[in-house]
Amino acid sequence: MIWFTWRQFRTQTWITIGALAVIAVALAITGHNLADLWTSSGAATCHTNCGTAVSTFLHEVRGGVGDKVYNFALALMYVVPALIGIFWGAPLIARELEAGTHRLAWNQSVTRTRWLATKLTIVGGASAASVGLLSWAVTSWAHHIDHANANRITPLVYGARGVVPIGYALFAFVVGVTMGMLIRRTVPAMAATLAIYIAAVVSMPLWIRAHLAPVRHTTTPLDLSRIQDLMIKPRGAMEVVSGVIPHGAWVLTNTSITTTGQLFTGPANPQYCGENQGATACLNWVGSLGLRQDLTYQPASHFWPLQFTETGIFLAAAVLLAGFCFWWTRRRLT
Amino acid sequence: MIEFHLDGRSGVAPYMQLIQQVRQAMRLGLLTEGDQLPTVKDVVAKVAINPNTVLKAYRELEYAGLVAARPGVGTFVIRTLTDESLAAHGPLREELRGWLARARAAGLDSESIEALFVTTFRTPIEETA
Amino acid sequence: MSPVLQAEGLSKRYGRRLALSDCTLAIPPGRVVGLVGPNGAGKTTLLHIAVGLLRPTAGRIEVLGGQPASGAAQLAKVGFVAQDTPTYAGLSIADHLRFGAHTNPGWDQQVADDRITTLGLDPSQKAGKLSGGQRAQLALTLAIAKRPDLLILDEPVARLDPLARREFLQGLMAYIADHGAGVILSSHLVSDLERVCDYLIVLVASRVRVAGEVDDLLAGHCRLTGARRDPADLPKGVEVIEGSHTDRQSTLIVRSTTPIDDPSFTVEQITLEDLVLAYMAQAATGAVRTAALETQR
Repeated sequence: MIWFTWRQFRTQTWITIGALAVIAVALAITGHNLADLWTSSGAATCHTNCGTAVSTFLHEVRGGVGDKVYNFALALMYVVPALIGIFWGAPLIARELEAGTHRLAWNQSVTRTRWLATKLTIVGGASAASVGLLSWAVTSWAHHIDHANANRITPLVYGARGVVPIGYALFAFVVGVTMGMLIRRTVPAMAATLAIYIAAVVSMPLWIRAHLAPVRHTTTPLDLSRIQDLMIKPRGAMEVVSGVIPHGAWVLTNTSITTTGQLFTGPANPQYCGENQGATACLNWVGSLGLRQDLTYQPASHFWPLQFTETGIFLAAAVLLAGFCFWWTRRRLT
Repeated sequence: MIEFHLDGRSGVAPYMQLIQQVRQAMRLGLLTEGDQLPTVKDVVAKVAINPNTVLKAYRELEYAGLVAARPGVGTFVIRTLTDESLAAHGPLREELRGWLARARAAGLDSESIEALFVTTFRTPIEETA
Repeated sequence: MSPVLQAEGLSKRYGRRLALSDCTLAIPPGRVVGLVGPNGAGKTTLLHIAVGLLRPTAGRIEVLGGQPASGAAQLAKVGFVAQDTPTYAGLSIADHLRFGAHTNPGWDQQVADDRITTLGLDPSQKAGKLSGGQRAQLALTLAIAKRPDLLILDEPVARLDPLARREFLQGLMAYIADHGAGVILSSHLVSDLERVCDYLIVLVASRVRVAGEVDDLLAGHCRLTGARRDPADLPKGVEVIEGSHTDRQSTLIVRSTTPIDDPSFTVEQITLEDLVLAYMAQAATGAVRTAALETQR
């Protein structure tokens, strides 16, 4: 059964190896350039006050091919698990049912359970391995850029680094297998798998991820020299947002609150914040109100705890779905 | 080695057809004493019938004393029919002529004689062996 | 000797549709069994239950003393060729054989290779490029080479041309002659099965109508022709399966436990095809009568 799973999977294996090789070469070449840029901009050797060196580095990167590779790798890490779910997961059972070959396969001297277990293990293992390799390569390649941008824990980059792509891939794979088993037709199963994958990958950062590690909550006096936003809206409503953010953190909420702890919404004092006054007058008036910055965030140090917890969640979901597949093929599939 | 064929339309049971073909072959001298009949596997590989049918036919031939099965070797013919039957033809023909004359004298027409002959002729093989 | 297949009250329901109802069978070993019935009668359903691809909704079934598909040992005992002989179109013949070798502990590679050579097939040929007859032979090879005690074939010759059909049956019979396995063949044409079957099951409209040794069935059924008669007038022990009447004459297909001595009837042997047709007609009139009764209500 192991040989046969490989035989059925042969083409996909070669395609994957080829694609991984091409990506590896591209990353290796551009990675070399990145390392050079890192040293030449001075960011490699600086210890304190690296602001200029880092911005030089980023500026150089954005001007070259490294930028394109960065964006491509980012997209790739989200697309690959979806592809795995669609092309490796959905056809696993659906294709056999569609072609009727299950009437051949399930009459050999292997039980359905063993048949499914072998397929899930081998193809699932291949998914985990290939995405693991890819994620390791991309994370290493983008190491300096992520350090310079200090945005590794923010949603878009987070999902393309570390171990969560493995969780996404295995989850998408098992979702694919399940959809194929329930829907019994390959193409509709592919569509359903894609829909579920997108829903899961979008919902996670929106609603769940923020709660996977203890959220940090700080209130500090407003630093007038580092205001990010000072907006005066129609009818005098105001919004003040401070630009003071811990390095590398994922900001969840950032508002300004009054001395009583309420959200500051104005109204703008027309004496200082009217149309004829300058920005400085309004700013000084705001400063006199004793506002504080109310910040909730996940610090950079929570990156790996969040990664492991989130991967664990997706793996658990995958395991549950796999168990359902075993039960369904054994008892219900007719 | 003889080959069998089946006539699906003749109304005669398959095993009977096999028996008849063996006897016919023996009568024509195609099978003589010591010749081996085709194995069951060879027969069904050519004629696509149930192996039990062939076994049944061979068993009948064995009861009739025409063949003998040697386990592990095959089924062999143990008699020759040619000279016996040739020798018996003459007297039998005479008897038949007499019978026909008596039948006509009794008032049977050709069709009645044929019907009588055919129905009597088709009685099971055990009575005629 | 224990039966190869034993079923009691076997039923399979799909929503409101009853594919099999109340089937009771006891098939003796060592026979070539013909399962005959029109399309949609439930033959495939019955065979799929026997190999464990379907679960019955009621009743019991036992195949070779075990539950269908209950484990590797049970699966090894039963060889199955499904309708349309499914094969993996992208895999070669050799790949299929390797699949069989890897998934069946009882696999006999010699048998498989010999068959492929005898059939003149090229092992490197992809199954999708084979003709219908060649695919059927490949599927049969796969089923045979695992040395099962029972072979179940679902309409194996329906789509084959006459030559392919003959070759298929020749190969099948040669295998049985050598290894004494039991066979269950289904078909909607009796003519396909007449030459090879010694046990017959007639399945019409989800019910088993008659089952028994072919010799016994042919001896126990006959055609009565005679003056117009009410079927109820016949002696006890004679059951009318199908009857047709003109104003002067009645022709009845009957089943009888004793020989019929009544001189007012001409008694004739019937063929297997006549027998199956009679039971199919009986099922049809039964359905019509039920429908008529229902409309009366």
